Amino acid sequence: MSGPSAGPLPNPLPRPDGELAALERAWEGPRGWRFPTEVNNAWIGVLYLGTALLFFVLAGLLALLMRVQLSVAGNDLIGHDLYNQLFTTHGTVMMFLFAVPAMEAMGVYLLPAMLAARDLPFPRLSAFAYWAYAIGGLVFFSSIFYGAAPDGGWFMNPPLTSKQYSPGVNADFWLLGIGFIEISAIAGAIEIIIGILRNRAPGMTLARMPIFAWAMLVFAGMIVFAFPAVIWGTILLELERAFDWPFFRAERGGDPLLWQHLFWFFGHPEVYIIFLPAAGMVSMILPTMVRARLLGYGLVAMALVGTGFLSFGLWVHHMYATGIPPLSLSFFSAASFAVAVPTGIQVFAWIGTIALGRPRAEVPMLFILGFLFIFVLGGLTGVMVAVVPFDWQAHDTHFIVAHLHYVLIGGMVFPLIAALYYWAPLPAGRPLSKRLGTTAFWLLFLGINLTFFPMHISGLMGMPRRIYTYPAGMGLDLWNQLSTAGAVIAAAGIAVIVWDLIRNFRVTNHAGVNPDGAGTLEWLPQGSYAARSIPRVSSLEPLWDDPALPEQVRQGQHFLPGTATGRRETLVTSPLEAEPQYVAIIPGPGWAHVIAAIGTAGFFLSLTVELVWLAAAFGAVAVAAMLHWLWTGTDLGPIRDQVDIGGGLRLPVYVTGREAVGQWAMAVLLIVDGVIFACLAFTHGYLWLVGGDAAWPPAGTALPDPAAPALAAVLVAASGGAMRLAEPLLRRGHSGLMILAVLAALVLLLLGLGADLLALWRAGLRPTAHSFGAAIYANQFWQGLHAAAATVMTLYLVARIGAGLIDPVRRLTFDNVRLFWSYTAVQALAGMALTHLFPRGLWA
Amino acid sequence: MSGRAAGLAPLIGATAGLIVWALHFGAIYLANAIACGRGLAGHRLFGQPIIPVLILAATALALLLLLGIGMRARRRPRVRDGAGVRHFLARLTLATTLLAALAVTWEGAAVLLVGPCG
Ligand code: HEM
Repeated sequence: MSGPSAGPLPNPLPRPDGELAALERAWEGPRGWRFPTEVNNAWIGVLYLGTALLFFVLAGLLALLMRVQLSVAGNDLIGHDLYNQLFTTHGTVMMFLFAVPAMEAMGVYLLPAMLAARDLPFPRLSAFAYWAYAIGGLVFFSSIFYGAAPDGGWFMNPPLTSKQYSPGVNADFWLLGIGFIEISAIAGAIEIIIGILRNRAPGMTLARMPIFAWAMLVFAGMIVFAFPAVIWGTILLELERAFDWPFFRAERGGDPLLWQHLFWFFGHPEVYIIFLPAAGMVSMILPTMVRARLLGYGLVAMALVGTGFLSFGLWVHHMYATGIPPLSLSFFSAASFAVAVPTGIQVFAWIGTIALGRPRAEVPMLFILGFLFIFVLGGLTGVMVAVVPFDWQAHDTHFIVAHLHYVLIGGMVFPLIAALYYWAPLPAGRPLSKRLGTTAFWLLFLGINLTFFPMHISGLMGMPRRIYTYPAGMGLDLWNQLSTAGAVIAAAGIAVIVWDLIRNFRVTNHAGVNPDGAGTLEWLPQGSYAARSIPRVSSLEPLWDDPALPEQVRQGQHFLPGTATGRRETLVTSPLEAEPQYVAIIPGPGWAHVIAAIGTAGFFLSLTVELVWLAAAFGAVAVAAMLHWLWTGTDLGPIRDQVDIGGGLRLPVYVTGREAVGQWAMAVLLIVDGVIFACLAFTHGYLWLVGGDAAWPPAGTALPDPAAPALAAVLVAASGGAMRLAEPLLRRGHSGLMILAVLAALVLLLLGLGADLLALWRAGLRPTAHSFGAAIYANQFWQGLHAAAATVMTLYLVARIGAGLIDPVRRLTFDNVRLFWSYTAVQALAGMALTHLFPRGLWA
Repeated sequence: MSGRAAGLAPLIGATAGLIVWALHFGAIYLANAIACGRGLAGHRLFGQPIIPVLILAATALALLLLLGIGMRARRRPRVRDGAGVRHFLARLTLATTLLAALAVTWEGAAVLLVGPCG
């Protein structure tokens, strides 16, 4: 039995009157000036991608300026100050505001359709992430117009970026502006992970998941483990700059290399975070382009997962020139070679697929061939710089600029453009222009190679990166002129694509087009509600195996052909085998997420310019908006008993416990939290290691006597206990007692954390004197953030209990608070152990 | 029903080999960093320089673990439940474990070629 059409379909024809109309009503989007209220991922995805492309063009214009400056020797068009801001902003915007968001946008847009889900489980979260990113990103970019843009390079190494050498607000723009955009990236990652694991069409087991979903799962998982490191580094550097806590100041026991470890623990995986989704898109597009199934599906999935892990073992390979022991460098060298294996597997899978099929000369195919060529060249120079002695020669020259652009442009920009041409018919209902696309391809292919190939040579001749000019007569002139000419040609290519988009791209609700005859579910007929009904999947390319499927789906013959509750819904399935579990009600349009995003962006940007009162006001607005959104849109309870989705399947609309997607989201968030805490612990260990036993803590450091922290630990443990106690009270329906238990838990937690802080302060330990105190107070800062969050959550919970919105059945809010609580208590105890046992234990 | 109750553990289990890789990588990096940072590289264990001994021992241990994981994955029921997802995950385990073994071997072998602290 192969095709899903074998046997009777879940829902018979004709469909009842009004079923489709009700579905359309539930999914109808806001019109006109109310457009920001829409949360539907398909819509947010398009906006998201459009914004990311805008940043690509903006950062590209900065690149052109730099190339103009470098076109002749000794040019004084752009001074070194502005040049520093240009390359920093270009690199930062390309990496943080273009590459990662563009990939998240593709995920948010494509995944629901590919998995035949109505939507991912938390559309408002992705809408919030989008608006925070768009507002924050645009303000960040405009800093270049005021000469306030960051200028310390995209990886912001201290001491160059310390207050001493970067006194202006430029570095703060990077730290606060980019820091919070990372938070938005994490929000998007949570949506993507849970969407992929829990919103697949029935029968779409892990073994039948489109390869793009594998890539996005690894991508989002990597964000969860990598971004915390840079968030933590950002917090430390900003604490140092704002309050003089010396984490990176050698004269007070700090170490600038700590930043590099934290940054590159994120920064190298970042490169793969960008590349893996691109590889996933290639693996989707190629089979359609050559009309053959992807060769080695299982191996390609393995390669994605394997790369995701191994890429974390590479961070030091950006630090070969920092004096780390040679054997340690060799570990990273070896890991750099090992990570080439899964990438090689994918390249061979693609070449094999091309060889097995009949390639067609379509625009996406051209860009994929261009990708293979450019990316493989970048990979080869990558293997060269993975060799430590060679890297010592090429370090900080234009050879590196050439290498990184070959990898990034080949590995990410070309696949993205292929994807743009391949999937444009999905939202637009018709393809982009083949003629313009082909022209753009040749301009870009020639332009990129002409720009960056000569840089290998100028780099080997010794031309350094990040220097605004070079003297004449060193043989560099010709290569630089070629590079600049290439950049102009490439820019023309981008202009052609933008023109094509302006002419031919409109978001429409179309009846279903599939111009290239693709086999995956995103090409089912789509409305604002995604596919009309959700099919049971039994192969990797359902549309190839069952040509009748699109029509059956459109007529509503498969699962959930209407809205069961009159609201927006999405089907939740089990993570491995995708068996239907429940119908989740998801939020519709509203202003809360937009206001929350404005508040969040305003909060961080006001901090940058040190307007603390304004920041506080923005922060309050953000929190209020989020609480409103939670109050009105989440934990609705069992508003219907069970609903019929067809084929005799009756499912609940409200689920609590381990099956509930809300619990999964909290769990992923706590993993992020835990990784940040691990970075915090690493900070202690690292500073101790480089400081030396005798100097960390420095002689004469006062520490509180053990009684105070012991008491604090008891209070925190008791707080955890009180929250546990609330659970049986909830089950028995004692809301009054429950409120007492929850409030007691809060008071105990605050007392415990406060006692610890007070004891440290009383003992005379200060954060500014030495990196030891700074690390301890950074720990306190982190615990304090959790205390603040716990306070807001508790008061919210109490209000919900008081309003009668929590009972033995309707308890999702309580469960999530309790989960957060357990984590916070354990983290507080671990933090105290770190503070009080780690140095003292070693002293003894 | 197998899939419904199973949660995510089998998927995470399929990356067990890579988790072993990560632990091995972290351990040997940390061992070398601490030994060099604290001037312990001159110490000897069983009459041999301490770092190579430790790193080779860790590498052997990791490879043994990987062997165990690989053997277990091979023993898994070939095709049991209709969806074949277990079968798929068993093959995924095998492939990731192989990759991990390659990386562990490469990284461990470096100690035979390069001096620890320079
Ligand atoms: C046609 C397109 C592009 C051109 C002409 C271009 C040009 C340049 C130039 C001239 C520099 C500075 C070199 C120096 O003096 O150190 C640079 C740096 C950089 N570019 Fe690009 N670029 C392009 C596209 C991209 C893309 C698509 C990305 C990423 C996705 C990217 C990421 C970077 C990064 C990370 C840096 C390093 C910044 C730093 O040193 O802090 N570029 N690029």
